[in-house]
Amino acid sequence: MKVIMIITALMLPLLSIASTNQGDFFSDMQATGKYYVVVAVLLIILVGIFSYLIRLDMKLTKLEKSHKQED
Amino acid sequence: MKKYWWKIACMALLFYVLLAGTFIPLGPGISLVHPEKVAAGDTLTFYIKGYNSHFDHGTCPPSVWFANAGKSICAQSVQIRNRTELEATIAIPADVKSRNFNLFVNSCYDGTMVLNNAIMLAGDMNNNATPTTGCEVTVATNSAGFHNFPNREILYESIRNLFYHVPMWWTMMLLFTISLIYSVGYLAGFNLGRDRIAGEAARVGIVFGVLGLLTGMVWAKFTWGAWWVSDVRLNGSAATLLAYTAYIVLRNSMNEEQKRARIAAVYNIFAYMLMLVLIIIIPRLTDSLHPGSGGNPGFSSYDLDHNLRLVFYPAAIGWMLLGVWILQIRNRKAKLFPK
Amino acid sequence: MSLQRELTALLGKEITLEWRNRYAVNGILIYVISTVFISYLCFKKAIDVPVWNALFWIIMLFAAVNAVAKSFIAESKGRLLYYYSLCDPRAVILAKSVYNVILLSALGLINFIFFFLFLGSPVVDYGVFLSAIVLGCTGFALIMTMVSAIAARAHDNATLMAILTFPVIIPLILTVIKLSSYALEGGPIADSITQYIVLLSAINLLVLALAYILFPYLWHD
Repeated sequence: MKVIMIITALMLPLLSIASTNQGDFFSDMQATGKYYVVVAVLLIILVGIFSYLIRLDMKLTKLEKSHKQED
Repeated sequence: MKKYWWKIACMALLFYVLLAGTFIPLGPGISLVHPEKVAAGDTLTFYIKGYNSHFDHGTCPPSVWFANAGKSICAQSVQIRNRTELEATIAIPADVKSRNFNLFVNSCYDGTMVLNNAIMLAGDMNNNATPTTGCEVTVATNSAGFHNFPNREILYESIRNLFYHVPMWWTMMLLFTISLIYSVGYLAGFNLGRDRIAGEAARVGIVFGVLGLLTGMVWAKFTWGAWWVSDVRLNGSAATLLAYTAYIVLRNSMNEEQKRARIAAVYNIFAYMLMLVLIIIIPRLTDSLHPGSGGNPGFSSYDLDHNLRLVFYPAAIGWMLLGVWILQIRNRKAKLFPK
Repeated sequence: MSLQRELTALLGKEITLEWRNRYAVNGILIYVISTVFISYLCFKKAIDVPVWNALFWIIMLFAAVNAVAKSFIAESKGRLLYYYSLCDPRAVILAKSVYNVILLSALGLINFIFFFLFLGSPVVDYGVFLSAIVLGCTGFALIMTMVSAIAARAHDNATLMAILTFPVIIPLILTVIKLSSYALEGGPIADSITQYIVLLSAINLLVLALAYILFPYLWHD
């Protein structure tokens, strides 16, 4: 329960981004000198590498389990 | 601890890159001018907005002028509103020779800032107008000695993607090169351990290649205006990715270990050499949208700013170490649990 | 037996075999003719020069994949074993390569003749276009012979051959399309023809050298 609360608290600032409408978002992006492109690129890389690592981790866990059963 | 030094270096470098790449500001530039359309012979007051500029700083007031077909048109009066806003009254002469005007703002503090094609001529050009002479322009160099990233048109803040997008390709090429070296090594001694590393390096390289492709697409959309543009660099990297995907398909199509290792190694060497032609030689013969291309795609000609370099090279090394780290983990897994 | 004598003997064998059944050559010929005819029916001569150029090389590419794919796959396992015990593997790959170079160059010319008949010809500079056909088809033949050897050893079908061929053929096809565009009307100004001819020859030499060095590793079990 605590974890969910913490996650919700962390998500709150994101709501303010979601609530601005699309037109504002893109004109703001121009005003902030396309900084959001950098954020998007970093997000892609982090999400990509983390999901790859999680998949690798899950595969390893499965292998370790089946390895233990063999012993 | 001794075994971990390069992993610690990898983390330290990437932390440094993330911090420096986020917090070092962009150099001064002009982001906006209003009105954007003028007619020949008008005298107008232009509103000029700077980005990270310091109009109210410095020992001399900023001077403002337009450049039109090689001739300078200076402002009659300049009013400073605040650090980032200016108002300049400029008379557009009747005898303009070009439709596009480049805007220059020069101050002792910020140096010279340019906005190319800042305003456009709306009406017709009058070819019979009495010719006027341009004004004298004095250029002051910036005295503050900034440590900023260059403020380039179109790119603006997204120039920081240099530290995240470009190292993806470097890491991919490093991993494919590792794969090639271990393939050659396999053919030299038929040691299956080397073949395992070659296969795993190709797999991790593909992950970084896909990330490079996706980040490149996002960056291209907001600078060049399209998700995919026909460009030698883009096509070269896409073909390299395809070749290594084919390499993985070839590996998966065989079960017998020694035979798979030998045939995959042959294809790896064959494909890598042809990809070198595609990535290194062909871009030198064709124009590219990427900076520094068209004759010479080398990095020295990319007018890579000194401050960018200070972050870019650590970024490249950091991401490459991360790639090797993931490769090491995958290899250890494959060694413990062979398929 | 010296490498040269093995080479001529194997090349002679390839040509005789082909001449005896003429199955492959006829099949490929019909393939090319019908594709060009279908293109004609679709485009009705309303075809501009860059499209003509691209279409020519795409048809050439697919015809080449079909023509070369059989060069190792069609050989029975027993026959391959027989060659293996008799000759140097380098003679085998060289003979297959030379045979395919001849086959594809002829195919390229035939393709051009049918393009000429059905879709018209925007070619202005025949010398450059002919050298593009010869150099391009040589490159196709050399790369695909090697890839078909790899695909055949992987015991797989034509799909694997296509998957393995297309990525590695890209540098070649980009260069050859660029070179042949110089020979067509309204093409770019001819300032760097030699540059592209040198590049094509260099790619061909590179592939030949790689095939010569790498093929022995594919061969023995």
